[in-house]
Amino acid sequence: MRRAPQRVHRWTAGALAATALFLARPGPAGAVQLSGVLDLGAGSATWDRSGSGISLTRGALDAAYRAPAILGLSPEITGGFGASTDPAARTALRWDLGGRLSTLGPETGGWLAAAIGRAGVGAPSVGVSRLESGLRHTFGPAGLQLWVSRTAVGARTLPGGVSDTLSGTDTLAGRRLADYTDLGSRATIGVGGIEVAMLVVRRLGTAGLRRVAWETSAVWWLAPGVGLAGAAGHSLPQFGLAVPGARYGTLGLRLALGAEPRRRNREPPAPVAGVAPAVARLIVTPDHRLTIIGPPAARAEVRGDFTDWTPRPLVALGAGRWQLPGAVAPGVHHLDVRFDDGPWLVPGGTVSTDDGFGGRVGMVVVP
Amino acid sequence: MRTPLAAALVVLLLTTSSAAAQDSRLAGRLDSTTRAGVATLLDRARANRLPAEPLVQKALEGASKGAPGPRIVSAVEAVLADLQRAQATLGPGAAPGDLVAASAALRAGATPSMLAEIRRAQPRGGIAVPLGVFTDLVAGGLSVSAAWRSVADLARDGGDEQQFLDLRDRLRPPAPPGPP
Repeated sequence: MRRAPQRVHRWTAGALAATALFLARPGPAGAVQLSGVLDLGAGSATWDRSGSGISLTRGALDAAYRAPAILGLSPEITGGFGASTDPAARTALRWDLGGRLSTLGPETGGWLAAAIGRAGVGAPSVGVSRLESGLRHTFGPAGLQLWVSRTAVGARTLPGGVSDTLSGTDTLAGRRLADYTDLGSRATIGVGGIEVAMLVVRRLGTAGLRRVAWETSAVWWLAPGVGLAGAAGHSLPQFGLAVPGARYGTLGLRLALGAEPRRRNREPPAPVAGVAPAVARLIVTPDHRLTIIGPPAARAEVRGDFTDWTPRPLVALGAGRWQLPGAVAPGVHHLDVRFDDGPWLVPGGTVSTDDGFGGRVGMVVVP
Repeated sequence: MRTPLAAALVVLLLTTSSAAAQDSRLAGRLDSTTRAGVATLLDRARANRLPAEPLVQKALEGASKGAPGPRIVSAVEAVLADLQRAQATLGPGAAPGDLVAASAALRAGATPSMLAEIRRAQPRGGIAVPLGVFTDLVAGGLSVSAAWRSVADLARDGGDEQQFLDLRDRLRPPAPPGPP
């Protein structure tokens, strides 16, 4: 759980949190489409180690570039940057660069990721490497992810050592600062405009590293692209950025940026461009809104006579549900949908008719 | 001098008429030749008091799908022909929504006499929903006669829009399995 900036006074303090995750992917005509999620929140945190009055400010930015699918696999290039400072002007920095390869199954899939980088106080002089693999499966509106990761922080003798947490036993120095394995699980469920998630991570390693972290979080989407987010839990220490574990509770806003409005931070990637979903179904709600139910995807679009046949992104409702913002006028309408820049499809729940151009188009009657 | 002036006026009037008929949404989406062909059809629709929007949308659909210009004009012309057939049955005062639904029903297999019957059964309300349900049922696999019998019976009984939608839900073949 990355939180930033955080201000800590002694053991318990108010906490301000801001995290950002961006995703870029190839768009039409060679353009690059950028989307992401920005979380802004406030709350309280009780650190696992006394800070003796130290305050801490931290920020993090992660980004990924998703390339077109190859052999049914979705490759991504990932990168991240983070920084933390305290009043003694100790600035900790970290950066990493890596890759992730995911399968494209609509309900079940897996991923394999690796990243290398550097981190440390004063300068990012400590090597960091991470290997991760995981599985995901959806059960109707619910989803489950399981993963294991191996992280090594520090690979050589360091001049003067590095403090990776505020104090105490989390201060590490020497050839190998930390070497641990995380076993993680995350369960999610989306009902209407509300998404709820439960996260549990068990860290395995030497006696000073073994911890269990958990988090319960929820997002209530008040409007397309704007959600009320809350979270409570106990985080793990983040070696290299001098952030100890903490019990915390936050409340804030989640802002969806660009074309991927509701993707949760650090979720495993969903099926991507060029792969047609197995099925998609259209539902017209009583208030004349078009809802599409489809396989897991990072992006869905609709085009039709109500958009002047220009693609318009759908807003994710969670659990494979997407909705066109605003009501559609009563009458006969024609439309197509697509997922992750794949081919345009006639969704189920519409009448497939000849479009006059050698293809098909969906027709729906909105009462 | 009189002949060139008259010719200039005719050209000016034609240009004005065509420009008025053109929809600003078509600019930039269609090449000039295709746009001119579509504009002629839009002129014809408006002259016959037919809704132009379905024609504009068909042209935009063709542009969005990358169809060649002649095919776009042909598809728009087919939409116009459907609307003309619907109007011939429902009368010149038919609502645009009813005309659009009637043209879709004709394409699905309805006959002009069927349209006239549904018009008589629902003299005051719109007939877009009953016709839309008919088209939906036919495209979903029901025979034209079976779909028509169900819709016409309900229309004669004075069914409202919700009852037509309920009828569709009852008769339509179940959707293929998919995500919940």
